[in-house]
Amino acid sequence: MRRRSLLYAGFAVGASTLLGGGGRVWWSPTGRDVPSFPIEGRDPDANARLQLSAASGRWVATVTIVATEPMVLNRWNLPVDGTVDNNVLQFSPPVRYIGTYAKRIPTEADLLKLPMGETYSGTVELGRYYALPRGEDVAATYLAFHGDHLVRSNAVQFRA
Amino acid sequence: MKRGLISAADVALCNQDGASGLTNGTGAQVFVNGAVTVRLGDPGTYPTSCASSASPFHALEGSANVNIQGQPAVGSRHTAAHAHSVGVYGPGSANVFIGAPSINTLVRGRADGLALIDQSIAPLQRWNDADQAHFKLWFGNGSREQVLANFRATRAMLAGADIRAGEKSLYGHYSGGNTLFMDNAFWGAAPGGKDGQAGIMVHEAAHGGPGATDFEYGHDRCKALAQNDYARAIWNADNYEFFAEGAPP
Repeated sequence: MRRRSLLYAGFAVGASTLLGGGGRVWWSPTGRDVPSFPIEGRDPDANARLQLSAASGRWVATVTIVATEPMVLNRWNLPVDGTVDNNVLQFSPPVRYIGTYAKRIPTEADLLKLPMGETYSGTVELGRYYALPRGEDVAATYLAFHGDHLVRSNAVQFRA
Repeated sequence: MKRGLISAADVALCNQDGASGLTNGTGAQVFVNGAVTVRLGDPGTYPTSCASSASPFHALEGSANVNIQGQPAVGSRHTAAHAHSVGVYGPGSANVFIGAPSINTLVRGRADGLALIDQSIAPLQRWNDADQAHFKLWFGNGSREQVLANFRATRAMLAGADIRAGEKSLYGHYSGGNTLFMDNAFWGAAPGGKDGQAGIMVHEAAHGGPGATDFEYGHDRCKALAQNDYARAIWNADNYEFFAEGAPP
């Protein structure tokens, strides 16, 4: 079986977001109104952290991986310099991926060694890679293989 | 000098005498060893006596002395600059004959890729012990019906795709729609075999057809994916490529 590691355990509790100018809180996993950015969901089994925030009216996803043991990350499965090549965000309901799939024969340069205790964090603007259904509620989760690890984040619900 | 159409007899004569190169005033834009090549039946002016060595009508693949549309031609494994694929292969020029009419590498890759897929569908239908073992290697306990459907969708995609030379530092990529891009590293790949040009075509078409993704890359990791997580393996493009490249005859 593929080895799974708890790489990250310290992310924040649930949050929510405001919609438009009305200030309506539409999601709050804790039952409390927490009208602040960024937003994220709780998942104790997740080993990565996904946060969403809005910048200039666009949704930006931040993926954070904290190595609780030495890790080798695949660059092609990470947001790097604001871009990401693979469909590493899963949506419910499904959202069409409009980014790139690539044929690679990985080399050492494609691998990022993350020593124990260190953090990788990268951001990507969702609208560049996903045909977000404007005005509809969706949930996003980061999911990708990195070496022997299947890295999965918490799910974040938001209105596209 | 002789004027008129070039005939097979002229070619035979030059081959026999040793040709220094025939010239053709129609300008086919193809130069072999410094002389313009001609086609049988081309009108033009050329020497009746061929002075020295080597046939001018046979350009060897990869010859540094072959220019196609002003760009030096290179072989499929050469490492010369491949910017925009210019200078790599002639775009199927009808004016270049290398033992047979030349063929564009993207055209050949598509044909070879389709053949690979056909060779992959056959064992999925035949399903003998060797076929099952090969399936297990790349798709684990995945659904044979789903894999078969995905290969058929891959074939349909590849057969009808708009295949273009891309500019990324990759072997190929797919960004939606009907277009498959073969990128810079593609030109240095072997025509066939593991991670060959035909297989790269299959990989990219697996994205565009059935909608496969890239969970893992490479032989070892894709084999592991098949054994540990077959539900993902049957949606991973490299697994389709590797299955195809090693499909039992």
